[in-house]
Amino acid sequence: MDQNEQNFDQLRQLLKLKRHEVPPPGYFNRLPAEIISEIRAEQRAGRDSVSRLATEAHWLMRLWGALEAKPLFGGAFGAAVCALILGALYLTEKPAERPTPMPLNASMASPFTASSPTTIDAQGVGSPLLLAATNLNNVVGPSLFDQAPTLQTAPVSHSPGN
Amino acid sequence: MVDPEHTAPFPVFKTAANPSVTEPASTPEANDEPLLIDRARSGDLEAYDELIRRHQERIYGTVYHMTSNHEDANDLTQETFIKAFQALKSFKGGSSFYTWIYRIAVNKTINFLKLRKNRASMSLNDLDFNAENDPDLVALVSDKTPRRDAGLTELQEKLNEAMGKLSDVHRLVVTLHDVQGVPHEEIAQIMECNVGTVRSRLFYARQQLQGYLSDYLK
Repeated sequence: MDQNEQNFDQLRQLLKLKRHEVPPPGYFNRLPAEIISEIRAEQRAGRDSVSRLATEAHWLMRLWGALEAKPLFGGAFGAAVCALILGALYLTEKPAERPTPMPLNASMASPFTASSPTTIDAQGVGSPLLLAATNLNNVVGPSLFDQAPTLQTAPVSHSPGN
Repeated sequence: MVDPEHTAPFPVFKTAANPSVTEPASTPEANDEPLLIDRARSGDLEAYDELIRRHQERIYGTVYHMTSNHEDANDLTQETFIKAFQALKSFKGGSSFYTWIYRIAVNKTINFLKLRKNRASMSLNDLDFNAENDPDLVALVSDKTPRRDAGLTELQEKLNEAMGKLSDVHRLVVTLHDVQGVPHEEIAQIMECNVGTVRSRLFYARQQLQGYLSDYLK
């Protein structure tokens, strides 16, 4: 270490130059006052915002006062707020009602399931296994294709004379 | 463990307001510091004013040597003391007040330097009158320097440029130890690392500086 120190002797001499760099005259006499006035300004700003809150929101200040005065009331209020938040979380995470699946009959359900005997339920109405597992009531019903108007083709006559 | 380098006289910041850098707890002024801290903690701004007066030069000096810019150093010093006042309730006295406030200053400065990275500009303070009479500096400027025409101001600029090339942590170690005269152990507390790390960083930083300033060193 000593050798290292000796190696750096000149550098350390040069670094001493930094100690002679001084701020403008009187700077250190002014600095504390500036800092203190800045702190005072921040305190005033803080007090102003509290007093503004007090004048503009009486109910909030009354509530705050009540909470401060009665710790039990404060605790109960806190618990109520927590319960409210937990309830809201529970409700938002609860899955929404599933949309009613399109009713299908055995013949139209699926090319794979329609021919399979395992998809025929007790009433004889075919439904895919997947749908049957979610809601049986919804899948029983007439097919949309049954209600669709039948497209019929009309013979077209053609006479070359016309 | 006593720092051998610290037995050397360090005239830095040995002013009336700050008579000792290395042993602040042993000075008479430091004895009433806990009382001042208690008063400041309860909102007494006069007490805090006294605390600022005692520590402002060291804090400003550290920040200034890190930034090489008086305006930035002024802003950061003010912010440090304001933040310290606000956080005074959290000061439990586990370390000395000056180590604690140093830590605030150092963290603020390093954060500032990270943001400033690409727009660094020097705004150097003037040298005091004593610089011209400092025997070490006189020797460097005249006989021993290969660049004999180099004046103190040029040396100052080159030194600051070289310091600016160091990484923030290396510049901090050099500033605290070689410029401010803070012992290794206290630097370790301020930087929240062990003494070995401080020593190795200091060695590396000095090597780098020596390389950058080879023209101005023998």
